[in-house]
Amino acid sequence: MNLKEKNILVIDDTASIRTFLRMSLEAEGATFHGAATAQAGLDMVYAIKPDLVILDLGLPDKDGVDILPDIKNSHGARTLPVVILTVRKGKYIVDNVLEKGANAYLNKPFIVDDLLEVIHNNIA
Amino acid sequence: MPLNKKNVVVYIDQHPKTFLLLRNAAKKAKERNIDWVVLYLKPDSTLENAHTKRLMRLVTLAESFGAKTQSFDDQDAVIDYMAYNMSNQKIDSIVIDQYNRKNTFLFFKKSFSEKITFIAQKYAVEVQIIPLLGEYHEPSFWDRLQEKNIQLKHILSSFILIAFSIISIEILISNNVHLEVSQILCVFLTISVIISMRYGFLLGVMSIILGLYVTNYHYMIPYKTFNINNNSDNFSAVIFLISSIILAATSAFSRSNTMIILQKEKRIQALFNIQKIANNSDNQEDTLKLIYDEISDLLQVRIAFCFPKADNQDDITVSYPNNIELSENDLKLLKICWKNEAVTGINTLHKLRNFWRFEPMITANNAIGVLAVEIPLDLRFDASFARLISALADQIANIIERLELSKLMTQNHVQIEREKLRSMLLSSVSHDLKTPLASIIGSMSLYARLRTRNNFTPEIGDELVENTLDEAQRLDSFISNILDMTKIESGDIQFNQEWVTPNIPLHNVQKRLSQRLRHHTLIINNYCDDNLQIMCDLMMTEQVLQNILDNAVKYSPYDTKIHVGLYTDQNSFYYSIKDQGKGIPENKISAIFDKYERLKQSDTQVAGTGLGLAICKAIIEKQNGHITVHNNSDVGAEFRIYFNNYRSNSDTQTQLD
Repeated sequence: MNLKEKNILVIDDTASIRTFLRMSLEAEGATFHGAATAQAGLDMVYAIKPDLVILDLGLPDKDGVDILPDIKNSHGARTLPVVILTVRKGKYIVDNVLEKGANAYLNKPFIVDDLLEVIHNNIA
Repeated sequence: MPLNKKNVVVYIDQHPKTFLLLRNAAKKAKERNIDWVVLYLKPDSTLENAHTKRLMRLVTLAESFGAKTQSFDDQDAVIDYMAYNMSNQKIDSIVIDQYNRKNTFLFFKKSFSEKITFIAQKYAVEVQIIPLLGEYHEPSFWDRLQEKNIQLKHILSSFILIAFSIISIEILISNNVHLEVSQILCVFLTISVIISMRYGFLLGVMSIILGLYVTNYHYMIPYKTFNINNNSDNFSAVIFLISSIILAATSAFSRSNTMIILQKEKRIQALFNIQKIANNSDNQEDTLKLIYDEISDLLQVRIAFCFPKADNQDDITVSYPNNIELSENDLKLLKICWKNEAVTGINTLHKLRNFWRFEPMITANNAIGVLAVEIPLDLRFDASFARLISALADQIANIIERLELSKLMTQNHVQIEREKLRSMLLSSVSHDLKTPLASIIGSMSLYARLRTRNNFTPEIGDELVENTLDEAQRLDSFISNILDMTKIESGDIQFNQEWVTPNIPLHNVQKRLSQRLRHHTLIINNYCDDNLQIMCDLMMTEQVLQNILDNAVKYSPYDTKIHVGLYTDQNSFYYSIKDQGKGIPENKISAIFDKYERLKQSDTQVAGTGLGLAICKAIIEKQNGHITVHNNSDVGAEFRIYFNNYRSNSDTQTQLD
């Protein structure tokens, strides 16, 4: 799989998760961008116009679900794929985020291979 | 609307106790497994007051219990309805209040209940008449004339007063003062008015007669006989008699009016006090005790509260005070009162040879218990006393019902809040445990993936391993914290206090956190004697130091210093831990040791359920110490952990607490 020259934004409040995600994405050739809060993440979506966004739900300042519509509507680009990564489980949660426009949903903890497969299936 | 099945029929009105009829009918209907119907008069639409509202509330209540209800314009319509349905065999039984006959000149009209009974007899329908106590009748004229029982000392006092007047008259006569018969009669008139005012009408009349006798015998011609020769004297005597009786009656009347008003006020005050007691306390036991004192004081007789037994709601016993022994007959009557929800005992239709009166404490929704009142033989038990007991029983029943309901509501509330908190805690804990696990699993799966590639370097491997170890340590911390918090809260935790040299726990923690501390410089300064020891639990103290040092690492940037100092001041020993981070926002300092309070900073987010500092506080306080925190003047924050119990480990031990 080659993610060369793809910009991928990871919005997650845990530093160690951003660390190993950075390493996995860079190993596939992508350019990694990280943000630790919802607001910072949103700012970066507008600034960088990434090719895919990985979004954690349990963010400190706002719930990830709340900024999901904003991310999807940025640039009027409905094609910005968003992958949800979260500890939360349950059909209700999954349906909720899919309704709000998320392309895929992955539960933490996960193995890197699964995440990379989801990215591959959803990236523009 | 005619009935189509056999029903129990009950007629209710605006009497405050009419709910007793409702309860009776409902019970009957349930026992006989038939429907029941509630009849009532439509309240005047222009007049709405507490009584009409109460009536309509009862109607709604009956409907909610499954009864049919029907309103009528007047009592005759009710009678027609009943007669019609009785003739069609649709009425099983009737429950009504006892209505008094109305006197119209010399003709006695049948009362409402009597009319119904008459018709029911024709059709052999059962009618149950339940007299509802509590209707207010003004005391009769005769009642007002005699307020208290006649006591011996009153009689004696009257005699003394009369003797006093005779003596005064004699003194005046012996001083050659000429007194007319009418003047002498005036003296006795005055005395008799005084006696009536103080001791009541009967004694007043007695004094009048005595006065007339004395005057007739001693001061009217002919002396020493009961004859009256003189017409003028006759006239005086007659006028005296008439006016003295009228005056005596008037003064006795006015006196008793005053007494009645005072008594009413006292009773109203007592009812008011009881309501105030009920409003101010939420504890049933205390409330009952206070009410008990108030009522005993008011009634001046022994009373008791009786409640159903916990294991058998049908059986009832004296609950408070518990040193009251009831006679066998009294116990029987108590049980009958509870079973039938009717007043029993002294001065009721249900009586045996006994000493108490039992008043049921019932509300529209619940039967609460029985109020027992001991009636001593010398107490004049009149209608107003009966009304008072009835009112008190009602009031207490309502108070207890309200206390029960509010207790239930609070319990529900507490339950709901607890559930909410537990749910929040579970999600938070789950999140905090899964996050480090995600890093561990992610990092190791990445390691597995990259290891076989030819661009894999040892640095990449090292970084992943480090990441994993860090997170594993964090996970371990979380789990310990949660376990400890649970133990501390349930009081399960054991503290093994011993004398410890304070740098020992510090060095242990330093070793354990060596990985976490690799990006910082830890500087330790010991400003105490080498032989200083503190009384503490070694493991617990290490846990606290670890938590605080961990915080210092989390909240200060890489490559900064963390200063740990060991100090003593006048009363205690303390550890000081200073970091060079951003410090703590002023508005969060006071809540920092509260459970679940998280510190949020903008770019370096730290995870944590927020239990760490709360646990530290709990542990240190259990060891008789305390923790403080403040922001340094230059940069960062300082935590201080105080231990009050320390000594120099030499020959002399100094324990300061």
